[in-house]
Amino acid sequence: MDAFDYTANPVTPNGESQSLLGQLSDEDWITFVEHLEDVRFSSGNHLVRKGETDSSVYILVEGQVSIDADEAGAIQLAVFNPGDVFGEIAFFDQAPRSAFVRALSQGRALRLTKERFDYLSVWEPVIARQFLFDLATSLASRLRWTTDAYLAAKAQSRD
Amino acid sequence: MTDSPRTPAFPNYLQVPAQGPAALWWLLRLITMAAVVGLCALCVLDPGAGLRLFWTVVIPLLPVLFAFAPGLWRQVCPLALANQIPRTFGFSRAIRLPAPLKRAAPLIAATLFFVLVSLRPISFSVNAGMLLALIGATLLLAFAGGVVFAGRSGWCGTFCPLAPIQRVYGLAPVVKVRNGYCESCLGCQKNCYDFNPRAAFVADFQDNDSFYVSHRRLFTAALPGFVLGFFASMLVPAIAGNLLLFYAALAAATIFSVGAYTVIQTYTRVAEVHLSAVFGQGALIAFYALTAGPLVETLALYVPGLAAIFWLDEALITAVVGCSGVVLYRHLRTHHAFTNQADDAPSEAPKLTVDVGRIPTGAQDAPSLVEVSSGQTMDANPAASLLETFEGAGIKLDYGCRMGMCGADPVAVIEGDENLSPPSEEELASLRRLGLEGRARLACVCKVQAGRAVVDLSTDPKTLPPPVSHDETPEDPAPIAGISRVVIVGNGAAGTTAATELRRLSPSVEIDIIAEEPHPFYNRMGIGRLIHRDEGPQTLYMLDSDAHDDAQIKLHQDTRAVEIKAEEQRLSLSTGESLKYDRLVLATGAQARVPSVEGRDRPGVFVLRTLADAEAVRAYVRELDLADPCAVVVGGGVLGVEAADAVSRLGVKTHILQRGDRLMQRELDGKGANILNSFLSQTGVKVLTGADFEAIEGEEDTDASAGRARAVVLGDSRRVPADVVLICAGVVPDVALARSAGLKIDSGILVDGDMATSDPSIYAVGDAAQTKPASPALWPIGTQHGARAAAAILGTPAPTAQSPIYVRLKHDGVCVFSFGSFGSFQRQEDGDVEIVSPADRKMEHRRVLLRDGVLVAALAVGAPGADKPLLPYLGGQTIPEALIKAWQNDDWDA
Repeated sequence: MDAFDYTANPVTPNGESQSLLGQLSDEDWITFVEHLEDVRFSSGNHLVRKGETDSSVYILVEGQVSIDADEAGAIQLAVFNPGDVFGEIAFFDQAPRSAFVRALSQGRALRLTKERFDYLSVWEPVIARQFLFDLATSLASRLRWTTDAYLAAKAQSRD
Repeated sequence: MTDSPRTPAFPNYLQVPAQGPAALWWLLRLITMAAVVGLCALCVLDPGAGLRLFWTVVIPLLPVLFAFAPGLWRQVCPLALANQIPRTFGFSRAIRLPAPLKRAAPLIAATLFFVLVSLRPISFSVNAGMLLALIGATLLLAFAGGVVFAGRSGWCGTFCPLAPIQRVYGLAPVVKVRNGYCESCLGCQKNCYDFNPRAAFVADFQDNDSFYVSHRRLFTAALPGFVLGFFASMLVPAIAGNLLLFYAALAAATIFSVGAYTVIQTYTRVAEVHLSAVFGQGALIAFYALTAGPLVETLALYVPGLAAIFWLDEALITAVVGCSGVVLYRHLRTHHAFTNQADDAPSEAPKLTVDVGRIPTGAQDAPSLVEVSSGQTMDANPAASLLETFEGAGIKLDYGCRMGMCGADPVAVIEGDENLSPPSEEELASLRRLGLEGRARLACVCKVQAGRAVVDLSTDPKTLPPPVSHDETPEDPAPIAGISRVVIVGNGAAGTTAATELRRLSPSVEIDIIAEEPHPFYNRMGIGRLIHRDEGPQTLYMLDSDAHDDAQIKLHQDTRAVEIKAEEQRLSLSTGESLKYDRLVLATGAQARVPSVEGRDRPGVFVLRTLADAEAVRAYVRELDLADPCAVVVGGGVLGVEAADAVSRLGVKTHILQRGDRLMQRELDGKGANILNSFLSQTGVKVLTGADFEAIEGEEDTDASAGRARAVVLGDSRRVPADVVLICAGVVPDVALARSAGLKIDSGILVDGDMATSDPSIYAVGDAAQTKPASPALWPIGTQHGARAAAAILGTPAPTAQSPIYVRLKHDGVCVFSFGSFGSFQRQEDGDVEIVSPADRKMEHRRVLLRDGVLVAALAVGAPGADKPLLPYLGGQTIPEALIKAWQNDDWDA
């Protein structure tokens, strides 16, 4: 837990956060970042639009973004802070985006497109494998969490 | 997620509106800073008065401010100002606080607090010089923290000894004042008090890191005892007068306080966070109970009549007790909301996060590049071109040679032209050819050197007004040379350059261009993109007909030159027209070489030479609409590799057939070709080397036409499935027209150094021309030819600018770069130095040949950017000794 987890989601007993590429050396991190696109945004910009088929993963470095169900941002689903990773589901299934991502402040994000991931796999296979593994681990633990929540809800409805 | 995200229970500073204009806050900050300076001056002029004012008025007023409106202090605090100056003026190195330091920072601050305060009786309280030193040193430290560390992590939220106190006293601010320093949040520290003052204290005690929680706890536990011990001892002359006794009392009180905390915590079940809140407020009340008297006494010295109000100190203490009550009540509500929120909301799904401290930040003073249409602001590395900066930010821009010679990527500069690198000869020549000199820059070679530049990719630079020329117009050479009309056949790079150079040299000469294709001058190097990108041919146009009109160049599009009547100096056209010329320039280019194999007329067999060829490939693949289409590219040269990449991006399974033993054999050695091969096979293109191509098999022929291609048959009778066959097996100069005029021809039209053919009124340039020694069919060679012919026709001095000749694969996932003649590696001279990167570097290859410290030939194959170290030395620049040494030690980043 670092920085701002306490603001959007104060206490998260089960919400251990998973670290992406936490075991990479600083040097490898520089190499990794060189393969990413550096995206600067201003407040109000949309980084992702619902329905788009772009399948990039984003790492938020600076600023805050809002995940919205609608373009205007009337239905806010979540808020992401520096360090948060998003977009990884479409990265795997390439399906159209399910929400809008709107910048709440000016900031910076790193973007890995599918194409750049392919190139990363050629030039830095070890980093690419670790990246994929961390992403998959995170999805696995979320699936576990979802299963638990589903079973709990089911048990409750039977009472 | 939270229950009602629209109105968060704990809005952070970014979620609340700014209070008052920023300018007002800056004024207030300057006023407090001025007050500090004034106080220092007083300490010098009247040390007694200075010390009294500081310790009995200024300092005692702070704690209640910390409890009531801590944000107000944090907005105007002189130390915060010192800390934030480097960030505001952009000279902070903005380094992330290292994790261990981040973790220990509150402990360091608390220790500083206890040590500095306990030193008071022997230093700061009694000696004005020491006080001045303390103020100066903390201001300097705060400033240094701001120079080194990012955001407010260098002082305010971390090392400042006043920070722990502010957090404890102001755990639930009565009045919230928004953090006005951080324009965007950098996430520079943990549980940041400036980010969310209400949540910070509660979050501290919920942290998973027990070390972090324990030292927060220790501080609050010790505080009331420390305060009581300190001020009570000061009031008892017997103790205050004896240093040993004083420190003993202070230590005893502090230890007692910690002990009491532990006992209460152990025997009652009061939550630690509440116990800490009570201890904090207890310290606040103790402070005023013991200092209100002296404060009122000193105030009375400055405000006459105050002494008469005998109840003033009691009133002050009562007010502080009231304030503490309100703070504790607000704390309970905060805590309730905090825990409730956590209980009500479904527990959070596990998140994936990155330690942002690991991510390299852009330099603070880096030049910046703003692109208007996308609204992006980018850090511009002074060593990187605009194109590279765009690519780094994910902005797509069509490019060609990436050396400023083709002019495929002009950008309109809106602002900051003076901050850009000055254009090179090649770039100027390209801009001139496009009629854009002074109106645009070429993104692939132009760099932001300092400051800020604003460009707009949505503005067509052709629509900008031409710059006003102040040059004197030189004399028109055309009448002197007796030339009034030049006809140019072909509108590729060579023909177009000849035309624009003629116009630049002479305003009067009549110029006609005969273009067989129905397009204006376009970027032939970019036609691969038309295969896989859903865009029209216009995106490749480099000049439109308006530009020709402006330059008074007559472009005959979609017109074929049929015959040259050399004696009459006439050219007849497919339109039936016949043009009289004084000089004729043949820029007929080359045609794709098609091996004479069986089945080459089948539908699905293409060459890739013109824009129409590329469009035909795309249309064919789309029309076939196969579930699993396959393609074969015949030829593993640059064009073949680029074509294979383009087709495979359409989702077509692609093979490259290479007759020789490796890809790009004219440019690459074995290792370089292997790396390229490995890259291609991992990104979807398979390479077959040593593959002789015998025939193209297809579906059964019908009466009307041959059956479409289905497979390519190799010499060893292997079959490679191919619904599309792209023949990229080199080019042959197009000399048909020249032959009709009876010009001397070998493999191309023979020309002299001025590009003149055997007929003195006819010139030949570009791929159709055969010079001595022979030059490869490359874009920059074509433009050199065009410029040379134009100068020779008008009798002006021959242009001297020589562009470096190199080949680079146009692909954004791999760098394949070859400079000079590959043969030079085989034919080395005495004293030549060859440097090859070590063999164990499996996926990176650099090989250079130096003669007298100058690059003669070079290869770079690897990840994008592998050619970077070589680029500054392509123009014959001497390479520094130290750099050669570094290259020899395989250090290519030097």
